[in-house]
Amino acid sequence: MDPAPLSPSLPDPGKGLPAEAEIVQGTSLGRDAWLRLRKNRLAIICLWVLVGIVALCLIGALLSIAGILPDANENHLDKKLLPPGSGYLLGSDALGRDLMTRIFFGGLVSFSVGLVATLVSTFIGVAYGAVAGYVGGRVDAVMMRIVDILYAMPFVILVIVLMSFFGSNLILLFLAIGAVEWLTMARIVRGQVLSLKKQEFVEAAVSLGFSHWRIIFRHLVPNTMGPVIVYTTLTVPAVMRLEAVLSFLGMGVQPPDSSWGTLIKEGADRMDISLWLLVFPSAIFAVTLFCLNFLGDGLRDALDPKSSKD
Amino acid sequence: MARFILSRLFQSLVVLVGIYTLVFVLMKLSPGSPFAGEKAVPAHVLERMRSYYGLDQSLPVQWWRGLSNYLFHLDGGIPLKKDGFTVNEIIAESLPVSALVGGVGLLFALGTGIPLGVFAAARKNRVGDYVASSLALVGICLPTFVIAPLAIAWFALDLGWFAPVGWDDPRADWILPSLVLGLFYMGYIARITRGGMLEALNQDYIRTALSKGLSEGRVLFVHALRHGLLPLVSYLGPATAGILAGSFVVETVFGLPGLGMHTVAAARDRDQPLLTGSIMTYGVLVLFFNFLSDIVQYWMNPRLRGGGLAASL
Repeated sequence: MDPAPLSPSLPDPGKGLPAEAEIVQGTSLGRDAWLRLRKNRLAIICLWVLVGIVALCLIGALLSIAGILPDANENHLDKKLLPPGSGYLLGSDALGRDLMTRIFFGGLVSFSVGLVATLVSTFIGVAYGAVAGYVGGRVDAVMMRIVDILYAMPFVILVIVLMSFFGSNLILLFLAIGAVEWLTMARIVRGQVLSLKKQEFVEAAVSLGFSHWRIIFRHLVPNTMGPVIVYTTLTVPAVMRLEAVLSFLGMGVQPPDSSWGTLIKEGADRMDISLWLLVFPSAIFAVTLFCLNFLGDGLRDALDPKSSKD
Repeated sequence: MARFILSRLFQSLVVLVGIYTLVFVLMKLSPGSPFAGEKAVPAHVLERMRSYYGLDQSLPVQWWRGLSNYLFHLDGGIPLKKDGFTVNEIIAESLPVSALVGGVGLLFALGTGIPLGVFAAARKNRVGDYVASSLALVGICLPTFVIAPLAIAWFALDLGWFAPVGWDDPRADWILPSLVLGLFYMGYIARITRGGMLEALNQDYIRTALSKGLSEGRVLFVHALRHGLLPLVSYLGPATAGILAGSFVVETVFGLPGLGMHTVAAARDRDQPLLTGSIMTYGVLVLFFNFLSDIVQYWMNPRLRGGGLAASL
């Protein structure tokens, strides 16, 4: 049987109530936020710049692997320290390697360090801080004293120990940075939850008999998203900076591989004779961090559930 | 209040023992020896050195000896690599250097960061916001080890306002490193202030205050600022400790004899007494400023107080 001919003659039950149907469907927080973010012109420009930089690094790296662009780690001792334009678009470094492809590959390393370590630290920090703030009392005290102990461990110490154990390893770099950076997030989320849990909507959730987990992760955590997003987007550039500091100490990405941090370090060592080695990596690094920060601000404004819908 | 302070003191003691133990375990676990050098040390000399520093004893005994020296004598012992000094002397000499540079830097960062953040929040998504936010970002977007040499080249070498590096020159050597260090924190402070202020400006009581006809400036600086600075206060606890304890990068580039430099050197050399001492110092600073930050938050945010009018409503 063909059911199709029947349907047009029947009245559509939903058609009479368009307004109500719209209200019931509503818009999700994410969609709402995206609509608001689109109105923030600078944040959108920054988003596209970031997408562009990532795409450039990816395509450049692929072209280099395909052999169209020079290899990033191949030495040409007869062509060392060439200024930009002379055969190499952005010049060459002390070992005659093409700076441009090194920036592309370095960018991929820096971005992945930034993103993975930030995700790890955000996840740990939010869960830890929310639970500590919500449970309160003695559990909170013990959890926050553990944070205090870890706070007093300078990051460098942890990295030195980890690296001397396992050799320098990119995965360990992610983990070490992620494992250290969550502390501030935990403190921020805990502070927010402490203040939020006294508000009426939490009381309402408790009196409706919701479980503690549901209250923490469905009611409290979404309300901390503003500060969490701001701090997360502060964390991505902070992690990328940290990676640069490790390069300064000689403990970051190991040669011949490069990250933006190692490239800037190499450039800073030679800034008096070959300035381009400092300028190009620093410029793309600064633009990236700048955009990440502005995008974070835009996201913050967009994600705040209380901000006006205009 | 007295009970709160007492219980915090006790907790702090526990935390310090925890810090001590963590450093102890990490240093014992990490490979490499403080006595390893380019020349191999004869076995009997190594034996003498190990017994001189008490490294030949069992681990629990070493752990307790160091800890009891801290607890009962406030004594960090003798460093393994710096002859002729005690740990206490090194810290007493280097902490004031780091604290001066850090303190001036923090004041500079607060004095510029908070106004920039408040201004940016008040002009949300307008040109003023973009300009203020961009200004605040300068110190974050470039690594300190790029900004610092540039600052030296420009302000010290070209303009001759400051001494380029060092500590003993009478030309106020602490100004330039303080500014470079503060520039970095200024960005964070402005960001966090802007975020907190935007959150505050969305609160109902702000609308009430405005609708009652209070001036915009009064609402901004009296009503909103108090709520809007809460995230900053929470951030400043650990940040103040960090900034006072010294930045390794700034101290290295400017050649300052500060605590940050000793900490990294000690970790590299596996100098356990010196590393323990500097991390314990840092730990005391962190605990103190976190405590201060908690008290200020309590005082600024009525919602954190259990009793009183807010709870009974």
